[in-house]
Amino acid sequence: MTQTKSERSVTINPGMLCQPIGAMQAVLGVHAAIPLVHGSQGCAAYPMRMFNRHFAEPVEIALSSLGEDAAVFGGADNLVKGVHALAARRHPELIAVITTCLSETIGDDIDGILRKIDLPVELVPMHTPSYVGSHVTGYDNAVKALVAQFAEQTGPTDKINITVGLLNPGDIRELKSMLEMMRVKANILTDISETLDAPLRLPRPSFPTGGTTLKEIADTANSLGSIALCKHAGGGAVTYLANKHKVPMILGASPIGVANTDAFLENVSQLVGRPVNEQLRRDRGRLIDAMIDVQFKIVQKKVAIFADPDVASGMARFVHELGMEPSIVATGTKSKEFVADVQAIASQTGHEIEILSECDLYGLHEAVKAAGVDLLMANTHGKSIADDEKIAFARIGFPVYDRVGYQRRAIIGYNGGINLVDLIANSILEHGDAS
Amino acid sequence: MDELGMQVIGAATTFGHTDDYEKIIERIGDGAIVIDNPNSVELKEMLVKYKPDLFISGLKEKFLAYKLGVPFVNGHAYENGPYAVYSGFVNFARDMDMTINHPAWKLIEGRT
Repeated sequence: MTQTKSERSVTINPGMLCQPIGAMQAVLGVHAAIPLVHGSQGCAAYPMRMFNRHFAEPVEIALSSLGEDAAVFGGADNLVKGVHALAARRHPELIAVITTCLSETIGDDIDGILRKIDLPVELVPMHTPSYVGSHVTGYDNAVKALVAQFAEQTGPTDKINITVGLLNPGDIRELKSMLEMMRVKANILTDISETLDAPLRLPRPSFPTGGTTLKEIADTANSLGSIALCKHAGGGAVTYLANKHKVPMILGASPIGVANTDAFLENVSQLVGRPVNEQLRRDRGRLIDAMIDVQFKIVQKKVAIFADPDVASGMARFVHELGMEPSIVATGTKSKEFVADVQAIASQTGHEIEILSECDLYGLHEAVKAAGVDLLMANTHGKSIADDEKIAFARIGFPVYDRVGYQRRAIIGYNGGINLVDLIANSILEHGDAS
Repeated sequence: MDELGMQVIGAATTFGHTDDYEKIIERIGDGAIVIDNPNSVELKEMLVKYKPDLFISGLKEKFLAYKLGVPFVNGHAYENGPYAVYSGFVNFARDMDMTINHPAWKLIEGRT
């Protein structure tokens, strides 16, 4: 059964965030870059709070601080003053101006305003009206804006491009480790592995070390190919590079679980012309060993998955590989592609899957109640649903702030799969202990 | 703070009005800094320049203080509160003691 849109005319407890927060996360993965949100106070305050709690890190987000006057007369003055103040006080290499529902509705000509500013800092406009799409769309638009502005053909390289999507620092570290094992050099868009998981050493640098450099973004036009780990969040940039700079593109499934990671590594291998190496095969074997070991603890359990589109569909396939039943696969973002992806999994695996796109938490709760699942996999907001239905709960996605360490643990790749096996099995075992 | 024998070297609010600042200035010692609506750049400058033994603020400032090696208590949402009334004051004093004397601060490379 597939339900792509709720029959209710109101949303109850939204299952998604708005575009600007996704764009902010993308910009926080660029070295010495500061997102400047062109909107009102809450447009920066609440995302900051969410980043703080999820990543346990300070984040720097600037704001043009639109008030009643700007809402009526336009926000150009605020924006110009904000860009100058930010450049003077922080000397960033890049200021990304992220629009909001307010500034898009006012109709400020952000591109025109930024073109007239002459400062020794790169300025990039990112159009992220909050009333269209979700945080996933915002991330996609942000990464696309970065490559559209900076990618420049200067001669072919032996690198590949990988857009990450809304994953965690732990995922990017796992990605880098896989690429290193295959001796593959990559432009990673964008790399939050150090900027949002910085070591505590003093003195603290003015900007966190790491992050994608502007040089790397420019170099994306010259790569052997581009792969989007999450096609909904990064696929836009990969498609742009293919159309504009003829960089071959691959928009596969997120590398979650065995088959999806196999496919990802096979794609990397094809692009660079080198085989998947022995160490990775050993990691693969270790994942399968872990899956076999826990089989009787988790087999045939019914699972509800609620996450961003690509994570949810990747997780659905992995849950199938674990011998469990993906009963409900839901995402807060509206996406026909997501529905098609999960339908394909359902027909290939023979599972009866209820697919929910543009799903709010109320709709998720109703579905969980009706299907009688054993395990809910969702972000922290799913906790109360699992508690109410007295079912096991495993945390994935963003935000997770009622337990620590999730930002550090990968879910992608073979090692991420091992982490997930442990997470899923332990949440079912702990639930059994408690009940 | 006075009652605990601690010295306040700076105070700030985001939404304080004139009467709030009158109270702050009346209670705070000479030479202390009072700032209205500081941003994180300014807070960082204060923490680096004056190296306080403790910073009390809210969640958005917490990880900034930590990353600069400054002990921190969340006075808005509490660490292990409540902090109000007599029994709460005991909680507050205990949380301040715990963070200031936490052994991990001494392990930070480059902290003076």
